[in-house]
Amino acid sequence: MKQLLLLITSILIVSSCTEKMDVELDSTYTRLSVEAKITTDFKKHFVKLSESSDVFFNQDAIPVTNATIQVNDGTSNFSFEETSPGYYESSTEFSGIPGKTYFLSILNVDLHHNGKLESYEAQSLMPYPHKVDSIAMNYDDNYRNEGNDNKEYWLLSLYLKDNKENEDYYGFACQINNVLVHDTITEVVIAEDTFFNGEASKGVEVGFFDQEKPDEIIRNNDLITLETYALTEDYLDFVNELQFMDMEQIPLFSGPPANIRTNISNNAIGFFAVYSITRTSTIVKVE
Amino acid sequence: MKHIILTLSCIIMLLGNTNLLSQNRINKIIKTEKKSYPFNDLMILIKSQAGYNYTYPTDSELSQKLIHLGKKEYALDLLIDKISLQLQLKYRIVEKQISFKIIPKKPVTISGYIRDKKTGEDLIGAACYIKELASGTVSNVYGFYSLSIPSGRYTVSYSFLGNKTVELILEIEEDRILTIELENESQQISEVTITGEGVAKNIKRNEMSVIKLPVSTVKKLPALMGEVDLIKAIQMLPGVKPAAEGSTGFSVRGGNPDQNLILLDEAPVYNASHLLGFFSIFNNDAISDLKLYKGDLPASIGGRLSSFLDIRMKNGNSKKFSGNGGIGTISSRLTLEGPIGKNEKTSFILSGRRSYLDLFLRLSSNEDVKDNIVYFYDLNAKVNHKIDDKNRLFVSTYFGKDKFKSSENQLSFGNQTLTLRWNHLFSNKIFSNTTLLWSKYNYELSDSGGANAFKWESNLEDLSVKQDFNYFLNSNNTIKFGGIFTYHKFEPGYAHGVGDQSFISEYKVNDANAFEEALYISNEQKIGSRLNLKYGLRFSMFNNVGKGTIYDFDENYQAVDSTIYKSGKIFNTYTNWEPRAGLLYTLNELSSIKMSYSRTVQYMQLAQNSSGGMPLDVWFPASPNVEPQKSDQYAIGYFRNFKENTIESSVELYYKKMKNTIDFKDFANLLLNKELEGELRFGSTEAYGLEFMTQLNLNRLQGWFGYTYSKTNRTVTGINDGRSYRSPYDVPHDFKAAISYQLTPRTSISANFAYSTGKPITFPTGRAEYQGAFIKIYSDRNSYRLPDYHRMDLALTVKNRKKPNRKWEGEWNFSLYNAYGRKNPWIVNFIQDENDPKIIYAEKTYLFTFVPSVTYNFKF
Repeated sequence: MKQLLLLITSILIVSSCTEKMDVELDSTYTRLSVEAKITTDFKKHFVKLSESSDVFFNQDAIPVTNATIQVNDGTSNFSFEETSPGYYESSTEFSGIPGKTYFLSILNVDLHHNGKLESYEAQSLMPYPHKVDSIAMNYDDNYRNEGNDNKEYWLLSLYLKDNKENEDYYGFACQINNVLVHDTITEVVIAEDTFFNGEASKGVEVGFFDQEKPDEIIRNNDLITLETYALTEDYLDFVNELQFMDMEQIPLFSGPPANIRTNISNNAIGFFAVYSITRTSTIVKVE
Repeated sequence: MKHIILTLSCIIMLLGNTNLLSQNRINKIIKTEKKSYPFNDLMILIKSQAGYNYTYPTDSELSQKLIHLGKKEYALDLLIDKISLQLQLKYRIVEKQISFKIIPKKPVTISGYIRDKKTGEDLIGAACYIKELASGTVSNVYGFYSLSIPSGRYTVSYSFLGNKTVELILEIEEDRILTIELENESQQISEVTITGEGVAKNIKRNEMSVIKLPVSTVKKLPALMGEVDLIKAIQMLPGVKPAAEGSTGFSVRGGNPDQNLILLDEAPVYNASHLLGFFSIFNNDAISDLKLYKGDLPASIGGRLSSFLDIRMKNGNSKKFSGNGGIGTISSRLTLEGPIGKNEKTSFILSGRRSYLDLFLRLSSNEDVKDNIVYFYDLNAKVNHKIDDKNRLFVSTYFGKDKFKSSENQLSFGNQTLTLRWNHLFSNKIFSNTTLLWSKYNYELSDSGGANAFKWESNLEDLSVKQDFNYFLNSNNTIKFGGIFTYHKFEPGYAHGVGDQSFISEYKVNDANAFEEALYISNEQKIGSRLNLKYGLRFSMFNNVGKGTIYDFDENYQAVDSTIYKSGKIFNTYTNWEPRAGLLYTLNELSSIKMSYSRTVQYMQLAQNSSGGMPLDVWFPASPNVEPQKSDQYAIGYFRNFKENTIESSVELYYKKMKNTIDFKDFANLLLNKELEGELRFGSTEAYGLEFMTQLNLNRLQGWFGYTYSKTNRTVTGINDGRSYRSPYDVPHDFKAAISYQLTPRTSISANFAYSTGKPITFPTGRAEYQGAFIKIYSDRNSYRLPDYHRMDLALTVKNRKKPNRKWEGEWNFSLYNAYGRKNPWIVNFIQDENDPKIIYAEKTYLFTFVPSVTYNFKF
């Protein structure tokens, strides 16, 4: 679908131009921004808290400090400690268990610096991980990317069989030599199985390495790892909406912009993401 | 042919008659002293000056009836004509004896067709006007007119804008069939202006909020890339707004683009755009007439809330074979038309257009762009055949397609229509038209790239039968009635993988079937000389018919259950009464007041979430989950003409309330979604506005300018937290002008100018960081506006010197779109700086600054 939009827009691009412009925007009240993740990895999980800002605020977001954070899975309670301003880590290492529902509570937040403390909550089920059969790397010297440029790319092909009984929500990100290169949320590839329910994936491309980006350059014998995420429907929709709003809008296709969803209470922004990870690796042979 | 002979013989008879009479009594000048005389006194005066005796029926009250005179002296023959016309007498002159007889009063009907003399094309909306009765009618969309009057001797004039007026003095004692051919106004600039007369005048027609654009005027206006576009011209009218810059979608009085009924020779057109909306599918060479109803819809029309765009294809020249065409910047056109056979009974037109944008792409240095195929074409064809005086057949068809193709992807979409019509005259008062029509819009999308290979098809089809009657009861009442039955077939989307490599499974959005029916009756009634009423009622019905699947949704719009209905089963029905009314009160010869009310109901709509719209958008029907949209529109207007009706101006005030307005939830998924109805949100819309318009039809200066002030707000549950918000087409101030000026007989210049408030838009007012990206926090829906929009286009048309003995005529058209290079934002994006991810900046995307183009048009 994206490819198609590209094809259609290619003709527009011939006749359209862009230019920076001044826009006066109003301010809105400050909201709590939450980036919280529990995965099936055994590690110290983290929660990041910050303040929302004006659109043209040209600095790092202001961290929200001194909050009290806890995650509960119905049986165990995990408390979090602030290791740097706005960055909270679980005191112990643990891994999320598929089938369990996780509860996040954030207390003692003084967002408006007025001494009034707010609290926030969220919950999410941990999905069961996807089974991946194998992956393969292919080189394409003339791949048309989203920016409609044709460039050198390494592409990662996926082989798995989708479960016909379930509605499955996938996310994909890649590591090169154990370093996650698709680390921002906009680089994560997501898919739901509406159009391939129960099918074999037959090598569909889910990892994209732009050979003009320094951190994505592939060399001989590199260890490539695909992280396959089993997401909840809600989180997939969240990522989808976030990515959609991050894309440039075109009056032909785009509906009106809107605030993206959140699963956190009390008007917070962000998401309490709970997902399973399956890792599959291969070694690249560059001929 | 019989018609023609009849017409000619009538005209010859008339001429002959006059000649005969004139021979008998020339050279006699009668001098008069008073401004009016009783009949007897005047006849005595004639007797004393010319020696003519007279007789008249003695039992009549004729002798004291007044005859009004304007001049001081008259030729005898003219004076006798004048007496006869004023007193409704007929006369014979034998030797020096004039014998008058009273024409017995009985109702008679004159009827026939009004056509263009050069091409034989029907003239739609041409006027037939009787001076003595101050009464008249206009020809219908097939050029037919019928006027019932008391028998008498009358001055009957036939007129049509851009054609010479024909004036006849007729003694009408019996029903007469008069088919009139009006000559085209000569291309030379003359000092005499010939304009619409009588009922053709804006102020005398009982219809408001209606604009008829002559295709000839539209052709003179500047056009984007030289492609003269009827819909772009319509967007220059007050009350009409383009859905997005460059788009052929348009919003009428705050309505949505899918609330416009576009009929091409009575067949609905579901997507009127080419090339993503930058050009419309209407090839102006094949079009004879274009009329936009912004409200005050006739009872014969329904199914859409906001407007009706009536586009009629030419019938084809019935007199001689001819052709015209053009070579433009992005496309070329060729139209051939002419008679089939020798007796003017049958004619045809064939018109084609193809773009050649892909040829330009081939010049591109980018290897991938080079191999892309991007083109569109249109084909219009029509044949009409006069079986006899009372029966006429028309077959017309349109076929158009767009194709985009790259190495891996392909998209094609297009409309096809076929209309079969039979005109039948049951009598000279009852005109009937039977229509059988078929219309289809479909698209196909595919990707051949290995694992992603898929094909996706969508199809919408209409099959209708329609019967319309015009009953010209008498000179005061014209009744129209009829009905329509339509079968709609929706196949919104079917996608499946292609080849063994593909991992894509099958996905099919459930097909839907529906019947849409309507019956209507309306009457236009003249009461006295000043008041004209129009009232009608339309009964419409919509049935959802199996095979169909209906989902049940819970309060969170999640599908919880579904019901499958058997093929052929009517499982849901909506019925509505749609009253329509209009009033015309003539203040004087130059001004009138009009009022109108219309209720309209819409049973199918477009799932279009973007303002511009795209070819993949699908239509979906009303259903148990989706109630039909309804609109009530009230309007009042003052109409005033100037300079012998060469300048028509009007001001209209309207208020519109729409119920069951459909909008879409945030991040709605409208394509390939079985549960589309769960993405819909319902509410209401309120729109009002004030429109000024002045149309110029002077000799050298033609065109129009207009200003609109309007507001449109929606309130929809589940959108903008239920608070009212601006419709995407809410543009309060809107000024437009489209003017052409004939510099010399061979050159004309023209200009478009548009100024409007910026479109409503939703902007971010805050941001929050999330995993390396920003989540934007948005304002209320549409609470910001883009900067004001303005643009001027210029064009120059130069005709080649006409060579004697050569049929070929050529002209060059030079056009400059956005002449002063205004960078009107098409969209504003807020972009994260690549080099410094902490920074977000606003960036506008704009289209089309200084787009020059050259077109060569020819005819032979």
